Amino acid sequence: MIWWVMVCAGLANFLSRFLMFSGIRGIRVPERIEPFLAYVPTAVMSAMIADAMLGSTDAAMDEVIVRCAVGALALITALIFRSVLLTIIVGLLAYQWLL
Amino acid sequence: MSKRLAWLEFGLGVRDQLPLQLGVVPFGVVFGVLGTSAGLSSFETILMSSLVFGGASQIVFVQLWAAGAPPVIVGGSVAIVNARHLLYSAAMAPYLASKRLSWRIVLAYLLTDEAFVVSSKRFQSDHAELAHFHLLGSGLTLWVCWQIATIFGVFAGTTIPEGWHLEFAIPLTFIALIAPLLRNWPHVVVSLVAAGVAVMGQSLPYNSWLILAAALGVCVGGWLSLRQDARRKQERGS
Repeated sequence: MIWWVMVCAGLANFLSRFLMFSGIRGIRVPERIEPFLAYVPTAVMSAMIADAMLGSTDAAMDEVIVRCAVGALALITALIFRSVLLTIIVGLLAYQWLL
Repeated sequence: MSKRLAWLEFGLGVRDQLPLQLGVVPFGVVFGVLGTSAGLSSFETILMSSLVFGGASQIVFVQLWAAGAPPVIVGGSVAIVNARHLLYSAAMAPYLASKRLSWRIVLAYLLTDEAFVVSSKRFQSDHAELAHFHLLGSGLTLWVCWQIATIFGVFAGTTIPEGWHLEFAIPLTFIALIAPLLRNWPHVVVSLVAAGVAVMGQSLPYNSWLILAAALGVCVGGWLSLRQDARRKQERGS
């Protein structure tokens, strides 16, 4: 059974990535929507970051505060140094140290 | 089209994607451990990374499967978590719609969060004509690292101390990716709206908070852009 679920999940995943440029007639992005799409990465990733920082209801308050503090530190590092690598290293080390 | 330029573009995609692997690899290892501890065999866990190839959705899959959720709920939840890719697909459509079907299939398979953010900038630059090679290099790099990390997680993940908190690497990667965009105020507003909706919508069924947060964030951003454009036009006119 798990194989079928995995194949279906994989297919659904692929279709979500393929559908809009699949060439299927009638499925295309309206021109008026295009300016909106520049905000897709910001919106999706901000939502996922917020979930990772504050979403877990079973986390202790101390842990949530540490996550938010480390998130803020990572953001400052990314804004100042513009380095993905440094941001992740600083964030992971700070999280280890504070928790 | 020069083959050398195409390879160069592919190499740039690999180079731009590599730093992000510091966040992706720990996440892949965490998935490998979760998969086997949720009752999946080593082979099933490893194969899921190729079949589904979506970090968050794979985690949701194994968690629901371990909890004994019905297959329809498992598949549906994975589809909902991944529905955000529809937005990526829409954003890439103007650039990829004219490519050959084989290209579109391969690039769609490789279109993850990280590959999209890294390569979409390339499509908006002067190098748009060859940017699909950039996406191929960036997507393939992530795919290879994800598979290796999953295999490592399955066979050696339990030897990693829990105190390392590898799962935290993914939000850090996302912070690093969106930080350059946050120099522009509409993006700051979008970020705050999406984050707020994501936190407040946690109790919504089937992880639908993600789609709701993304949709509202994108709408607010689009509205701010249109307002900015209208104001600029008005200023030019007066």
